[in-house]
Amino acid sequence: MTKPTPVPTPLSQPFWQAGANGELRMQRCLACGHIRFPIGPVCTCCLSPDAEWVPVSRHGKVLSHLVFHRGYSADWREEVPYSVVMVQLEEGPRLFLDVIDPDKIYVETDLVGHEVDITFEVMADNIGVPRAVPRSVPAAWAHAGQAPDGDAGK
Amino acid sequence: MTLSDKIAIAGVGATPQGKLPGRTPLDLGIEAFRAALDDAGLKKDDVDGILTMPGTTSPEGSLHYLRFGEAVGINPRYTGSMTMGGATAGCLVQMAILAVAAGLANTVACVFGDTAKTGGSRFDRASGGETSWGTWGMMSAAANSGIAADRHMHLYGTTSRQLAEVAVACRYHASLNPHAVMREPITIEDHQNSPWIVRPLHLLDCCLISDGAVCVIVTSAERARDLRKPPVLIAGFGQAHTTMNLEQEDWWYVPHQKRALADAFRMAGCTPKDIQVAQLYDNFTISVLLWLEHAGFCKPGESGAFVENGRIRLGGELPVNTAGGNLSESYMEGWLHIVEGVRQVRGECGPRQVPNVEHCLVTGRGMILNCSNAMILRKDQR
Repeated sequence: MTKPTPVPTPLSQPFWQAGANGELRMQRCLACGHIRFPIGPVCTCCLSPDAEWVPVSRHGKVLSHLVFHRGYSADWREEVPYSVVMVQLEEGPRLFLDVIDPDKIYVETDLVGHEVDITFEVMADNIGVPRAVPRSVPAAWAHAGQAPDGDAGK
Repeated sequence: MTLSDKIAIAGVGATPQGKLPGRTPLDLGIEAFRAALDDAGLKKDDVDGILTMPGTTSPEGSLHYLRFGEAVGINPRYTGSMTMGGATAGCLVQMAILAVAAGLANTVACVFGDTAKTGGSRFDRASGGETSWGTWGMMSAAANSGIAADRHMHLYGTTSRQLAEVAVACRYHASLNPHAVMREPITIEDHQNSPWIVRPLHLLDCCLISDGAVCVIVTSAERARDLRKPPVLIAGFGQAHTTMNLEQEDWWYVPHQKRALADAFRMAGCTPKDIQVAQLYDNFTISVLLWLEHAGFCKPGESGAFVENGRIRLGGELPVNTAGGNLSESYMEGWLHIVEGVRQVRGECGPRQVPNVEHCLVTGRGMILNCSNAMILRKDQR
């Protein structure tokens, strides 16, 4: 039961290193200030290659919550059912994270609109992977479920 | 200069669909090519353009056009291969239109063949580049459309039972199509009781995986009028793509599709009210809902209610995917949507024919949520 260990590239290595240090860091463009994610070689706004790795929030709001009942690789097959959430950070970027859920509680719920903390699992030397930990146990998922907070954001 | 109504689809061909052990993407593609030539009343040497989409099991990859041309003995004036998933069919036809209009070729065959079913192809890849989303288990085409469905449900109150309406309508249409792979009618309850794949998507929200091949032949409207079947005019077309995904807040809504559709309607000089039947790319049920909103058949957020009460079934206000679609006819990655559009405009569809078709809208979407196109087919009034 081991989730996959990412293979760092020269470009992504600082991201995984930050994770190993318990930090979520992303690239901020030195020319225009845009924080980009996913990781990329140049700024998606102004094409500048110059960036610094800045710490961002280690928590965020769930925009979407999927529950995988099918595993699409050998390691994830052992984890089903498991949740993946799309998280909105207050700095702007969005990312997907799996939800730490050893007792399979959150796979029965709807996390949309809820806050999650971001924690880090050190998978190997200098490789820390961020994962989501819900702050509370929300209501059970329902077919016609409206967002718990009446979420009207896009 | 407008290209509206200047170019036509002169012939379409398809092989049997489903599970076809012993076949190859190449030999299936050739069979479809021969069927399309016969449909158009053309000889193979009339074809001077070949555009292909390699199947998921084609060993040639992006060099597929070379192998195909060699196999059928054609030295084309214009050729190439494209891999844009479910958007490839429409985008290749648009390339063919432009080539014919520019005089680079007179008659272009667009071909796709695949053995995804017997070859065990899986649509499970993760996107994400430097940091693959697979690190977090965010994999498969189903997951990305799952995000679209989940967001639509939370923003607009769309329900799983409304998604089921799409699956039920497609299956009903497939039951009237002798060439469809899945012909046993289903109910909304069957959909609800089918297993979760990636919540909020059930098994019956997902398309098939199939073997088969399709060919579409494009030529000038003028030339097509001298051929075997009445020409099906290409009244308008458009395409638009996004590659930025998570950097765009509403990426899951595939908003670029609106641009592809608006361009197609503008070129055709018509509106959604002029469309009698639509073939909307349905890798997952949610995709049909988004197309309906983007095309303007209903307002944003209202597609769940729109598909209720049989509105998209034969006999309804806007029959959708009248051959069964990717969900129930066969997963030819949207190629059969073009074939069905042509046949509806020609009036060849027997028990599933929509009466008095003047215009059919055909859409394509590929590479998860990235690539899109739209085409409006028009009955020739001459």
